Amino acid sequence: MGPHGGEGASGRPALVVALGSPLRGDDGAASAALAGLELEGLTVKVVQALLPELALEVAEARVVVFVDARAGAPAGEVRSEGLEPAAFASGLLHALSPAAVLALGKALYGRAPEAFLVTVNGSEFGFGERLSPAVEKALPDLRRRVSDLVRKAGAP
Amino acid sequence: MKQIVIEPVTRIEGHAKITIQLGRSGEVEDARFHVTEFRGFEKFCEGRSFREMPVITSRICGICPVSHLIASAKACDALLSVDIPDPAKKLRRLMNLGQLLQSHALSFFHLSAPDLVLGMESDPKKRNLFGLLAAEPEIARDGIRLRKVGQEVIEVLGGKRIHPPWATAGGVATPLSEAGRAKIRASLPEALFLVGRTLGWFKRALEQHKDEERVYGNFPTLFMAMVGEGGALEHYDGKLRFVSAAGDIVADGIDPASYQEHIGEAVESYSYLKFPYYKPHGYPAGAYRVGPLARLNCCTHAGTPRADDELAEFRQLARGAVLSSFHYHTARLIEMLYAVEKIGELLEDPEILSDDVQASARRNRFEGVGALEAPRGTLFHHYKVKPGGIMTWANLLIATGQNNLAMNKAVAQIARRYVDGKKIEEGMLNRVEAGIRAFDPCLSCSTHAAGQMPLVLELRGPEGELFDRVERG
Repeated sequence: MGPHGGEGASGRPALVVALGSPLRGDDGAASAALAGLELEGLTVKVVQALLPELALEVAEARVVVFVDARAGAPAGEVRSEGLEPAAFASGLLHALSPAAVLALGKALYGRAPEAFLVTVNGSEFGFGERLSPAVEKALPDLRRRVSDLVRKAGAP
Repeated sequence: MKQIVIEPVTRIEGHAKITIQLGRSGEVEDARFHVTEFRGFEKFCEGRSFREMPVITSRICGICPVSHLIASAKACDALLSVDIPDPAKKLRRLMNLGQLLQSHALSFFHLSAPDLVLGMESDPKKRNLFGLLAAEPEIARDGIRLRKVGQEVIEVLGGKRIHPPWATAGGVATPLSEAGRAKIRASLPEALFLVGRTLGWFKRALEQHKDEERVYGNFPTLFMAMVGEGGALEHYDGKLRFVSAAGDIVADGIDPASYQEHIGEAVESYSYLKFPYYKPHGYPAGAYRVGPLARLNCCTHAGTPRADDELAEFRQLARGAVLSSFHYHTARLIEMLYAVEKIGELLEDPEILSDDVQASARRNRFEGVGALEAPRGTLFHHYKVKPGGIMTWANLLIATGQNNLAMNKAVAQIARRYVDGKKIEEGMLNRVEAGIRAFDPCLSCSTHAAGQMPLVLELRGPEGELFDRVERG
C-alpha cells in the first residue's frame, strides 16, 4: 500500500507543482526556481491555481512536492513541511489547497502519495516579473530543497 | 421598499450581488443582479499593436482564454483582410471545441452538479465537489476526466492548457503533429461514453427538478446564435440567427461584422455589466439569450449523429423554443456530445496535419470584427486601428452580458417563487444562485474583470431598509 492507500509507489513518477504567477513579483518564485529542473521520472507542472483535475496526476504520483511563495518575513526564508489530505468546505474551485487536492485524489482514485509543501517567504507581490533580491538569492536553496525531497521521499 | 441582497454569488466566475426588493405586503416586487467588478480591458488595449491583441485579450479569463484568443485572431484576420488557410480554420475550430468541452465540464460537473445531485436545499457544508464525490463519485470522476480531455486538445495544439499564444493574426502558430492527433484521438471513445452516461443520468434526474425547470428563468425571450450552412450547429464561423420564443426565425443570415446594426447595448446604473438587446424590438423588450440553450434553439440540426438524436429529443421539451434556463444544463451536455463527435471528425480530415497554417499580410483595413461561439455564447471582438496598426478603439461584446436581461428576470422569477418573509433562508439563497449558475455567467469576461465570483444577497424593505444580508465567498 502507498502512504494513504492504493498500490505501492515503486515505478510511479514524481510530481512537482510550482504554484504562482510569474507576472506578480515574488509569486513567480516557484516557477523561476524550478525552470529547467530535470530529474529522472520527474514531471514539473507550473500552475497559477490548483484545479480539481490535478487530482488524477497527484494520485498517480510516487511523491508530490507543491512549491509556492508565501507572504511573510524574513523574505527569502525557505520552509518545507509534510502534507496530509484534508477536504475543504468552500464552494470555490479555483483555489483548492494542496491538502484538498490530495484529499480529492484519494477520494476519487483511492490513493494519496507522500506529499510536501515547500515555500519561500516573499515580500513583493505587485505587478512585474522581477523577484525581490532576497527571493532571487533564495532560489538555489528552494531548488535544492525540492530536489532533495524528490530524490529521498517515496524512492523505491 | 424591502430588499434582500445576496452578496457575493458563489460558484460562478467573478463577483456579483443580488438585491431582492419587497413591496409593502412583503411580496417580491423586483430583483436585480448587480455586477460589481470592473476592469475595463477595452481601454487597456488602446495604444497596443493589433497583433498583440490575441495574447492580451486571452488574459481576460482563465476559464475561456481560448475563446478570446480565437475571436481576437479573427478580428485581426479582418484587419489584414485575409482568408486564412483552411487547415488553420480547422485547427482553430478544433481548439475551440476543446475549450467548449472543458468549460462545459467545469460548469456542469464542478459548479452545478453539487446542487443537482445533493439538492438545492441540502447542507451547504457538503454541497460542493467533496460532497458530490461522497454521494456520486462516478459523476465527480467523469467531470474531471472530461475536463481533462478538453484541456488536452488545447494543450496538444497550443503547447499549454491556459493562455496558449497559438492563434495569431492570419492563422495559427503551429500545425498539429501526428503524435498530437493520436493522443487526442485515443481519449475520444471514453469521452463519448462518459458524456453519454452523464446525459442519460441527467435526463432521468430531470424528474426530480420539475419545480426548477418551471421557475429557473422560464419565460419568453429571443434567442441568438451563430449557425452554419443549412442552419447547422456552429461554433467557429457562421451567420447570426435570432429565434423567437415560439421557435420562429426572426432574423437570419446576419454577418457578425454588422452586429451593431442589430444589437444595442444599454447601461444601467446598478451594474458594470452592459445590457445588450435586439435593436428592432427596443430596450428592454429586445432581451435575448445566448449560449448552449440559444444555440440548440437556433440551429436546424447539430450535424453529428448522436448530438442530432439528442437534439431531436430536446425539441420534445417544448412546442417552440425551449424557454427554461434550467435546460442550459441539458443543452450543455448535448453540446459536449457534439464537441467530442466533431473533434473526432476533424481529426480524420485529410488537411488536419497540413503545415499550411499561416497567411502573411500587412494591415489592409482600419476596422475588423471577429466573432465565434464561446462556451457561454456569442463573443464579438471589434477593433479599430490607425496607420501602423496601433489600436485606437476596442469593443468586446461578451456572452454573459448578452444574457444580462434574462439573468435579471430569472432572479426575479426565482425570488417570487421561493422568497418568503424578511429573513434569507440558506436554501432560498442557493436557489437564487443556482438560477444564475444555470447561465454559467463569467463576469471576469463580461466586465473584463479578474477573480472568482463571491456573491452578496440583500433583502430590502419598501423604504429601502435592510432586512437581511448574506455574504458568501
